[in-house]
Amino acid sequence: MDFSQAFNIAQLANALALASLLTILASGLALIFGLRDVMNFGHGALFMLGAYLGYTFSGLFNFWAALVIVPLLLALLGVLFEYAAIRPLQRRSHMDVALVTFGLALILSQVVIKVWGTAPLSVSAPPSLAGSLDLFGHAYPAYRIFLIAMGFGTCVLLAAWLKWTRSGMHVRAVSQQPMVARMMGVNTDRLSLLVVCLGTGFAGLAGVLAGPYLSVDPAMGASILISCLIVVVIGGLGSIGGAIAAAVVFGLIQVIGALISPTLAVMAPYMLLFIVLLWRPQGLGRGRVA
Amino acid sequence: MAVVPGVSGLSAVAPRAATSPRPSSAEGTARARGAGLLKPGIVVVVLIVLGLFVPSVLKSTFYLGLLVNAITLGIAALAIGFLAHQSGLMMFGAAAFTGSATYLFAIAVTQFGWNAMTAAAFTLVGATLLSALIGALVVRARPLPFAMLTLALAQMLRSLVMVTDFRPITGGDDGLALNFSGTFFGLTQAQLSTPEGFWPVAWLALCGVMLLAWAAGRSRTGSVLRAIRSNEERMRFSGFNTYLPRVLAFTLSGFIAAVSGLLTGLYTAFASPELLDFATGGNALVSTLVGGISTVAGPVLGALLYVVGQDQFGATGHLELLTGLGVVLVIVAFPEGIMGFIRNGIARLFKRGAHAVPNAPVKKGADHAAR
Amino acid sequence: MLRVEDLSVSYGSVKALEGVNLEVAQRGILHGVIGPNGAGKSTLMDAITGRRKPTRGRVFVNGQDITHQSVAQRRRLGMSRSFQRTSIFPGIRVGEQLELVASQLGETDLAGIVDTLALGPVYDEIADSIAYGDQRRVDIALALVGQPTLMLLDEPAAGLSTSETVTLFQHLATVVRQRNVTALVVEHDVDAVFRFCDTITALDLGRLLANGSPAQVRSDPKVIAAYLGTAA
Repeated sequence: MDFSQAFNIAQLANALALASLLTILASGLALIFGLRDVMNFGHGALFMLGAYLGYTFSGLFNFWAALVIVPLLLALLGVLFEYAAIRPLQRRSHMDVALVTFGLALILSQVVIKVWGTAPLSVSAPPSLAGSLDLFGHAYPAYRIFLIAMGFGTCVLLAAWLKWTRSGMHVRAVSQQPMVARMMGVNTDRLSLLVVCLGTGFAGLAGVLAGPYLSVDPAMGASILISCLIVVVIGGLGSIGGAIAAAVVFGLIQVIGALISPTLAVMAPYMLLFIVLLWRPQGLGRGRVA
Repeated sequence: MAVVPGVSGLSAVAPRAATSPRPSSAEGTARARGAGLLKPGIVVVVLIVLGLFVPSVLKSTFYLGLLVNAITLGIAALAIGFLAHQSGLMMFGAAAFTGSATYLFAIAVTQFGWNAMTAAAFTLVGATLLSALIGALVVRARPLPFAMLTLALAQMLRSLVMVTDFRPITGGDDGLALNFSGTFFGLTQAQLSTPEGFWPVAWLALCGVMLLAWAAGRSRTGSVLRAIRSNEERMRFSGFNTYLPRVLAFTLSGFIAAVSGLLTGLYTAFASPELLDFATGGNALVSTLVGGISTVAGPVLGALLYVVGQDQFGATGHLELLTGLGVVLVIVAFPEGIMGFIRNGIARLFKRGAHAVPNAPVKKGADHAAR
Repeated sequence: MLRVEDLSVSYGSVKALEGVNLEVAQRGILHGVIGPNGAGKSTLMDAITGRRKPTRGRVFVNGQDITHQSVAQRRRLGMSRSFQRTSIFPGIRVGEQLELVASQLGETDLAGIVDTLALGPVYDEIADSIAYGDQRRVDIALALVGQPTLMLLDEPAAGLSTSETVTLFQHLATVVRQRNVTALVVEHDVDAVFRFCDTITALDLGRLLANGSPAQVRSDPKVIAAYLGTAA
């Protein structure tokens, strides 16, 4: 196989498209962990819910409407999540909270199956993005370019928010030194609500964006959750920049791996996760949102 | 009282101090233990034998089928509960260990053409070896990374099973239907596929596994494990190797999970990717949490409650919903599971003193895992 | 018995211990380690017991270089320690945890240890349900089990009142002489140390200030300066 021929700009763009989705997801997960020390095992299910809602709203209205409505809906769900699950369980061990989020993931999965059934659904890209663009001599689907742009844009906005706004600064402060931040008057609870809603909203956004790109089926939650966990862990918990870098690496591994052997493409990310988690057996330190 | 009285003043402090405390000779303790076990031992053996006759009493195939399901689920739950109680590690992805055993059995039968007994032996030995290998790697992880790793393992296996290249071996999406030759302890596949026929296998497997877990928990290794879970660093500072016991516990847990998977293979004669789903592991996890992890019977009873609950809730469609709700409810309301809740209740009724119940959690939620 | 040679521990650019030399040659004595906050006393303890890897230097026990041995190995050799922040086994009964360690290290007289440290009343209690002072003594008891020849006690009297500290030190002195154990005690209460310890090491800012008898250390100008610099 001619490696250089097979791996070209199109493949790179594929990797980046996948990375974009993961970046949006992983940022949300990293934020929640960094602030609340909560590992949200339900993140994949939220993503899935976003994708399915995206399907419905795309059908009802159009893709662009879905792109706006669904993240907002999921952000509202985040409010419920914060008040019903995270806040009451603040004093419980990390494991208990993790178990609850896992339970919520299972519930969400079932809700999805109940409402939409088990058959895979197809979501088509909006007409304006349905064509292809000419990229360095290759025709490349416009939608994927859009994905990459969205991913990039989200990162930039997130970085800007963290760096230049007051709430963003508070988020960074709390994730690094929760006690000190609280003593200095930062309202952790309100901040937590904001961050959780942002996280779930992002999951919804990623879900809608994923519709035309990935297969929408009940198994997508589990598979994206693991990919997301891998990215967040490798990137360093709570580190947004790290998550982005890890997402790109992940995307590249998937694409290159698929060229060499499908088995490798499947196993490589897991191998990476095992290596990283075991390299630091003392475990995941507190996330620092950076 | 924080003041340390002088050596001479000890007898004035408390009656208990005057009679030197227990550290009796190891021999005496063992003999006492042995004698104390004889009567309950006979009761247990009688119960096991009686249990074999359940199909003659319970004539309904449907309810027998439910019980068989409860047993398979209960064994998986026991694997989770055993590990959680002894080492504080919670297997979110137990499906990886049960499902892989079913697949090992299925592949042994379809690919290698082995008969039932050989394939079963291969499954148990292979799965246990794999558990030991994986355990050697993951046992040092903190509880949360450990949970992630088990989930990742389950998902990885699920993806591997679907890889096109492996389809001939694993059956891919369609799963692997089995036709095994020979008999399993004298039972043919046809017999094993009915609840009545399968019952003795399931029942004896359950009893065996429960006894194994009970013995392991009561052994010195069990005490060592729980002490490691309580304070790993101090154990090292007390001269203990804290690594090997945990690998051992993980391997045993993997073995028990493999038994569950093997039973599924023998009974349903089918291996499907759904066995590796999060929800499958979730069912066992909920059963464990509902039943409580500090006893051997807890997870099994939890599984029974779960299976019965599923039946009561009607269509299977609600099952995973029940799972998820079960997890959330139990964590929030019953940190020690229903068994633990009952036990504590009984203990509070009978023990009038301030003595805490052995194995009572230090803080809320501690029963589910060490931080 | 114990010899520490050029022991240095750095955390990044922070030098917690720098070139410390220490020797405790006799058995059956109490050797105090004092110094203001940040002097490196706990780090010294951690380095000797294997909890921290020294960046430089070596530790000898009975002439044997144990610098590369694991924590568990050192314990089995007879070097035990207690902890400044109480480190016992929550959720497990006092008696149970003592017996477990006793069985591991071949302790024949657990009853004696329990008596000496007055743990009889709490023997059947769950360890984290007992009073703080009792918990500290459990911490020390865990270090006493198995006939250690060298005990390192990190602020055993932390959180105790002055009179309780005196009583504890009286006990330690008795234990040490009865069992012919060498005990290294890190302690903030300088008066107790000068009163009960046979020899003393004084540290400041990671460096050795003085080694010797209480009288020698007390009159050492460097020690006086270090302590007058902070509230004595």
